[in-house]
Amino acid sequence: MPETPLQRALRDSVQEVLEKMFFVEPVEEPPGAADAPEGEMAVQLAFEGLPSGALTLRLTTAAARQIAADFLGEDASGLSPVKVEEVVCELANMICGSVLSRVESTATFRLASPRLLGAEERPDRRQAADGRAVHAVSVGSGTLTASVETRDPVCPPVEESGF
Amino acid sequence: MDQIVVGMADCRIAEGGGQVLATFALGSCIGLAIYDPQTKVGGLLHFMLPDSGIDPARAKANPFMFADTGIPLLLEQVCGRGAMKRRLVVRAAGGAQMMDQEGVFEIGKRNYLALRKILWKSGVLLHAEAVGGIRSRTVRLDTSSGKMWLLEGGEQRELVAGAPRQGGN
Amino acid sequence: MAYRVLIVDDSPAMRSFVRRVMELSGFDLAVCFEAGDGGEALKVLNSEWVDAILTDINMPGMDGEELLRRLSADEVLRAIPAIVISTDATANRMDRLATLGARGYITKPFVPEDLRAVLERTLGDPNA
Repeated sequence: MPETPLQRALRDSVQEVLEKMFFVEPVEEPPGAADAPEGEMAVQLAFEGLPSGALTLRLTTAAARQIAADFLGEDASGLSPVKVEEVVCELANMICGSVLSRVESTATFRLASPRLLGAEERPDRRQAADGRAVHAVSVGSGTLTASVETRDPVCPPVEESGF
Repeated sequence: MDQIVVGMADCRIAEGGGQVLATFALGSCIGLAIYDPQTKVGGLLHFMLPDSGIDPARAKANPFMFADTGIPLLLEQVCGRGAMKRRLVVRAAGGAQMMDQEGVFEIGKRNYLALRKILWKSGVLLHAEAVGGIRSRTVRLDTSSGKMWLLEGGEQRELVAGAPRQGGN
Repeated sequence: MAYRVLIVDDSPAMRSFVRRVMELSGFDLAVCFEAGDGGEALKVLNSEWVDAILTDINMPGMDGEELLRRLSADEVLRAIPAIVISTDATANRMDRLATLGARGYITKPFVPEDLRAVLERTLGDPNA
């Protein structure tokens, strides 16, 4: 399936956010490979604009702990679960904002607060499709999977045409 | 002025001014220079790999080979000679995309990310950088003036403290 | 100079990050107030003077744009330099924020050194 504008925006956003603020070089993985047997956490946030939809982020527990420690400049062993969750929520917020800034250059968007998904809420593990982008990466200590689902079509960015 | 050569996986400290710390052939490796303008204590580290976890025995034998063991040691040694962390001018060069022995191109970028992570964790920000690209670099730190000189592509320029600069990738 | 600063963001993690960048940039923080949205920020400003405000845009309750609107409408508070730290890099948003008096702007994600550059441009070099 050719890469959609949304897929490209998601891939570029994950890379930029992880490299700039988490000091991690993400290595792409096929989405199916990211279903880890060990514990994982999931965060979801809804957005309103053109398009509207939601972003879901899944991280293996070890990956969440390590990237939280790196972001805060602290040692992973001393980090509380609350602090890890706060960092993962901010990671989701930044990826989502970055994606929307790439696909919406003129309209204003609004992000809801990210919320942690409970163990009983199963994150959607479907593959990429129309209006849905999925991107999975290894972040050294584990795996991160980001998916964006939109309710409206995403148009490619307007390109300058010279007449 | 005395020139002290810093080899690969090596680190040297100079105090009292009057010395030049130099390191050559920075391909995917990174040269990290730190300098306290008040005490004129300076240090230059030339590290090759990001993470000592791949070879702890080697890291124990030579901590300067890896970013995560070399950088904290550089900071400790410089501060141990009277430099203060909050006064340090921090500059880095290297991290180019070069073919290494395994044919892997990404070591330079991984070294650069490791550098930034460890500086952040150590409580230090970069003041100037010349990283990425495909060319090898040579750097010299003059501990009298605090100036850092960069040789790249046959041209020499001063690596000034200011907005970070990046080579093209 | 010892700075009194207010950081406004609904993410505690981001507030920590910004605070750390300020400290590592050489800004001596006498006091660092934190607020989770614009409403909380105004409550702080009701009773405390600050030398700088660093604010996000997208927040529940009162957002950063409304906060800037209220600050610019106040004779006293409009003098406090405000720097916006936001994920929203759309041209629309940035034009509005400039009109509302934001003195500096940085888009997430950013490297710490770039935030330092914005801080120095807006507040001056603390090491000078």
